[in-house]
Amino acid sequence: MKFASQIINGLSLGSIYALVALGYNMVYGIVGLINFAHGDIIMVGGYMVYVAMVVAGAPLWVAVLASILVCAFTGIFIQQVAYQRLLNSGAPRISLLITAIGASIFLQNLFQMLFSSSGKSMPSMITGAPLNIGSLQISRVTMVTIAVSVLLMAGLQLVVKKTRIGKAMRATSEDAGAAVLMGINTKRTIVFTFGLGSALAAVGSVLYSSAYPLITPYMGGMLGLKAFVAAVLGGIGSLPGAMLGGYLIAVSESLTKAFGLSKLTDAVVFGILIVILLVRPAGLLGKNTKEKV
Amino acid sequence: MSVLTAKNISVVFGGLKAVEDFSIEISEGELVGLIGPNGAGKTTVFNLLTGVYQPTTGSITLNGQDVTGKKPEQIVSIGAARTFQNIRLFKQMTVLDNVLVADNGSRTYSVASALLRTTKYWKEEKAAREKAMALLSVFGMESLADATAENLPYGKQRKLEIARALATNPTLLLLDEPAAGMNPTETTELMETIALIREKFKVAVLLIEHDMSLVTGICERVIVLNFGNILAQGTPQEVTSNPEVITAYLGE
Repeated sequence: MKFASQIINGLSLGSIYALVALGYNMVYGIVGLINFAHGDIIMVGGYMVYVAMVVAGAPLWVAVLASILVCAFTGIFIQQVAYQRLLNSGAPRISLLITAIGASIFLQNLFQMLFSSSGKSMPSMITGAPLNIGSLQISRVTMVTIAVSVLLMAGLQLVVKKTRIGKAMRATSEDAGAAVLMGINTKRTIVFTFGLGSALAAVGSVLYSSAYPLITPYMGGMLGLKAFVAAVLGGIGSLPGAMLGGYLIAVSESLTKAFGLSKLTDAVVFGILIVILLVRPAGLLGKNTKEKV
Repeated sequence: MSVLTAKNISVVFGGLKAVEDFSIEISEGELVGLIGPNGAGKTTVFNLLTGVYQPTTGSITLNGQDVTGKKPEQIVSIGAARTFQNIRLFKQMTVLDNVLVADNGSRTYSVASALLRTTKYWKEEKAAREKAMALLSVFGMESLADATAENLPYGKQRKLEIARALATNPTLLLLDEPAAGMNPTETTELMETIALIREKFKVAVLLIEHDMSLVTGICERVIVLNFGNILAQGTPQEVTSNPEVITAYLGE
């Protein structure tokens, strides 16, 4: 039973990793940038919920909506202010990477200044009786987390595969120069991608802070890093890869705990990353970039 | 009425005048060839006409609108579409999606209505799909609609690029070496395709080509470019018998 419940915990945490990893991969796919500030968007989302519910006393749905909007806005703002010029001028990758790390540190310091570095405890958001299957108990938070994430990921697939903007996203990520000459507004497409990725991170943030109800200005660091590992593991740039990577990382974390090796969880996660990259450098579902000669 | 009028456009890269004082006028439905030795500036002309590069001097008018300095995606919506010398399809996407992504005019639904699957979404998607399939059938490619673009044979990829350009509803189609890498049979087939689309879609065509059999076979008028300047223009026969043109191609 212990294993079963740890696997369910893993699926729940994996859903959150997957939501965040999707943001990394969408942005990487479209502009080739590893957006290290993406992890901190989760933190922004957490504080937004806190402000809305605790400070302003708003109901949960308002808080969630506000958090999604503010995160999407923050994501787009960072893109416009920090990345756009560099991307347009064809700056080297390393400049973008350093800028992304800078944006991340900026967000952390800003929120430390606004809310102090000590954590805030979140109100309970998702309440209700747990589900009992035999001796296995699944909390309401876990159920909601898995359900919401799966729904959102399915929705994202629909958007990317079936809609006009989704096709524009795929076209821009394959060849932005050709896309613009087929009449696609690539700038708007890039803005949309940043906004969408950040909105998913906001939902991830709400779910994460209902399961672990303490938020700090630095919470995005490790969570973002794990989601980034998930993204790389699944295949950077690949959306199904992000989801697979998220679940794999989280389930292996939970199983390590189930074996009583809690202290080794991070070592195991990064160990898996190293092993998989040795065998498949492009990640599990990543595109093989070998060129046909 | 003229579809395209470019007056004295020039572009300078560093100290190099890549294109100098280039003027062209193309009437509705006309088929014009642009030839010249390698490095003469032919693709640069395409890049100027489609807004990839901004001309240093001169003006470009497309369908009565001044498009000088406009962005590529705006120029596409005013009616110029192009293909590329080295094929630039969206390789990981299906044949149908390649065509659908270029058709920006016919769908106006929002993301929300796509997610909620409203009737507007279904109606517009269905209409766009039917239009795209009709376009593919002109090229005999409707049975390949679900194939991934990169898996198509070379000749079909070239055709798909033309179909994708036509999906933007152009009045001017710019073809950059459509016959490059094709065998003689494929080239003949391509000539028929170009004649057909001109007929069917009422587009004017400006085409860069090295294959002289194709140029003399279908072009009504040919412009010869050398070192960024227009060296000669006229009917294919006039141009090919022009001694200056022969010198530019073959040397003294």
